[in-house]
Amino acid sequence: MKALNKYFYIFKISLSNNLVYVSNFIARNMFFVFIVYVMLLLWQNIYSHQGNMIAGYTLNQMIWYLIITEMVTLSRSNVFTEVSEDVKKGQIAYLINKPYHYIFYCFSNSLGESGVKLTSNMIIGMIMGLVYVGPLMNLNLVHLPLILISLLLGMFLNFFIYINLALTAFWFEENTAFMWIYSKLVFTLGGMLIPIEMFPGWLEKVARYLPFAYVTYGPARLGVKFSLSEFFSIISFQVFYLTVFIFISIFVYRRGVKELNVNGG
Amino acid sequence: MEVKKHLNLIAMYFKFNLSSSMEYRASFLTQTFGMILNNSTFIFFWWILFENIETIGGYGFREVMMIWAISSTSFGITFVLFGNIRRISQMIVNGELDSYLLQPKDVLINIIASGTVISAWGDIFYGLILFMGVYRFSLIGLGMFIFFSFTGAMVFASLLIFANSLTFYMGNSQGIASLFMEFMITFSIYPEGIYRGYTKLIIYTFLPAAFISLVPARLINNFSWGWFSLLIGAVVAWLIFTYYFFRRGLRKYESGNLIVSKL
Amino acid sequence: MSIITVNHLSKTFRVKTKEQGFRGSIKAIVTPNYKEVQAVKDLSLRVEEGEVLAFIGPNGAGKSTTIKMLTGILHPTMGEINVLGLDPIMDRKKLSFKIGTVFGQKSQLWFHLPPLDSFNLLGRIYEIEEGLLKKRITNLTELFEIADLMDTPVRKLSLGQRIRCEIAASLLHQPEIIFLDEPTIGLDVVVKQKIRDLIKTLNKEFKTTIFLTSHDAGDIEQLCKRAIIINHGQIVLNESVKNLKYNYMNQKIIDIKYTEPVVIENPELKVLKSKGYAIKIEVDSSKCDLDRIIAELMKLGKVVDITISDPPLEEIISGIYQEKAIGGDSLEGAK
Repeated sequence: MKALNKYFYIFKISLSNNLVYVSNFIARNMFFVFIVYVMLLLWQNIYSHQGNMIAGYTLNQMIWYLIITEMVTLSRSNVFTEVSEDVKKGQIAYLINKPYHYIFYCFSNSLGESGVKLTSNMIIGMIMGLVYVGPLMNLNLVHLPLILISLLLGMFLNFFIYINLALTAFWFEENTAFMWIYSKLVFTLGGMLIPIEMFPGWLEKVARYLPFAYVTYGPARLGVKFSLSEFFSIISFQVFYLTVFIFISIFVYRRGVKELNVNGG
Repeated sequence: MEVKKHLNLIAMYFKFNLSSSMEYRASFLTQTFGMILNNSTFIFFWWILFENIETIGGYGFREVMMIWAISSTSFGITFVLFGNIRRISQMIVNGELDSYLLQPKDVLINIIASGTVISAWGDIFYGLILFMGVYRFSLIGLGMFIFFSFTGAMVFASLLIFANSLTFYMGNSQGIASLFMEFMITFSIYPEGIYRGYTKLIIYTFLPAAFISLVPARLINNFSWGWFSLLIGAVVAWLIFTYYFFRRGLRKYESGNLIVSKL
Repeated sequence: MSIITVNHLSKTFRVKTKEQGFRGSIKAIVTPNYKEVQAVKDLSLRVEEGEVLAFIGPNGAGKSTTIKMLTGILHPTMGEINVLGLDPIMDRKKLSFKIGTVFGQKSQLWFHLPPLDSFNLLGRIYEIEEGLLKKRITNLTELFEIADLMDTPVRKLSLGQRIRCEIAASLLHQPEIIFLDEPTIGLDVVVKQKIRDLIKTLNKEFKTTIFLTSHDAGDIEQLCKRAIIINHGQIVLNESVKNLKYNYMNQKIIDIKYTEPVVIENPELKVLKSKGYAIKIEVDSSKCDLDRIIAELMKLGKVVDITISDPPLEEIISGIYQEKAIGGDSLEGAK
């Protein structure tokens, strides 16, 4: 219990730290409102010429889909930059021998940051959806907890991929390129701006097996078109990839620390 | 005469910054290529969209790529030449303007030109490559492209300087400035046809993103002196306004005693 | 001839105040509260050509604010400034060709580049002709003994090396006045001395007027003929360093440690703190002979450690205040 307690404390501190930067907070939300607004303009124009169903989505569902994918990506924490800096500046040497596991320290820390962002993004996303296109079609409130689980799994998966990329700083001085590439993969193959059903058939198949779709596409798909069978398939992919990336991060971290011991900080 | 002096200063910093970026050639190359790849992902988005839909807001794939090209190169030029623009707010807050105020040059130009953003080279090249890819090659076309990239850069720079200078009046405005940047970029990379009503009014006035890419794209396809004069008028008006706005703000500058070094 | 004239100068800052916590932050955005802080109040002074002037005061006294107004960085709220016949705000660019500045805490060199690159760039900014610039760089690097450092990135220089480069950089355009704000802050004794010698040379060889702020009583004693002390934005004292030393800086602090507790009975010594074997004493060196006092102290027991130091500037200033309150005889006498 005590062991968990300290992670909870780290979470709490980071929570209140994040509440302080009110203006940043407002700017971030403005960005969210804005980007979905432009997407709304784009899709309104498209739907007005194409009829009311594209790749199985109505305009209403398309906008709610985008709100959910944006919710996941915009609620991510700053873990990549923080961990990379820790490693590059040698700060990590002081964190290694603390009585917690560095990876999980970062995770709790991120949870606070992401928690605040997600809560506000959810509220704003909800209002925005209602104002832009009205309530989500065919939503059954019973499914909400299940959708939320998938959303959180998506965010955790996102976190563990980021921390893996950040830990490459042990070997690469300039590792921001990895973050770029990853975020662009989520952007494209993850179906962040466009549901993967619209991809050409072969590409859709590929995307369904890759982890990126389970960061954004998965939760958003369940959000707007819930079915139990799809829920189980998406959740299993999410759990699978999450486990994989947790193990990789622990392994990479261990190798990295060894590297540090060999070459000096 | 004054203008020539300013241009000389910009050219001098450009050479200085370029030679110091070249010191780390590997970093220069990775950042440039990284940015080109980064931008290319949007091609994917539009490719998928146009697989499903023929035209959007009157634009086909080629037109969208054209506004992307102009927008990207404009953005790149802005930050290659005036890399410190994105740091003005922070510099005001930290009292970093002191050393510029002590030098016998125009403060604003001295500040913005004294830094560069290496990855912005990627934006310049990306725009150029994209333009040559979608537009049949002609000297006139390329000339217009380069000209409009510069006018776009001026619009972009003016607006960012304005947003950053708000710091003089209301304290740290980094948040607002980066929001303005997002607005300007985003509005300039979607087909004009999707904007209606107030949004359309805004992109021609308060957030003049239309003058970065949309109006130039129209001019490249179908030149008209009317739109051309409007474009030039908008650029000049924004430049003058921003310059004045910054100068006024400078009176309120409060310096500071943080330990600062030039990066 | 006066080359700096300041009349009734004032500077007021508006400071945003914020209540604690999240609600306070929200409130500060909606209805910000401001508090006015007067950093400089009705300050008048003159500096003569070729003079070395110390401008001293505790932290937050308004030293830097004044320098920043003199150099055109800050706009005064009220009052007049004339530097070399120019108004620092109206003629900022013209003035900048004629003055040099070194802020101990602010660098004009590029952090990641070797000083030579910064020097060349500064040469262009100050519009110095290329051949001339080369000659000046050679002269300055020789004088400051920094020729070997010119190709090392600034971030790899020690603080002492960096500050020498900073001063050299501010001299490239041969300014008539140089403003030095805390040039020796954070430096060790040897480097401090080196910097002081350089400043002396500068004043002698090039007739450069020097306007110096410092915390360090040593800087002032060794370099300056005249000192202006300011506190809370106002001039407390403006007189020659000779008088200042005679009247206020003759207090010495002696820290002495014995192997066993001793008792001090000499009435000339003011015991500030005593833990029996470790004692802090204040002595007025104008009234009694320091030699004799130390000899006396040595006789009291076996001495483990002894240091003699000047009282911190803050104490000198509070001493001045006290004397002013009593009647300020010595102040009048000094003038």
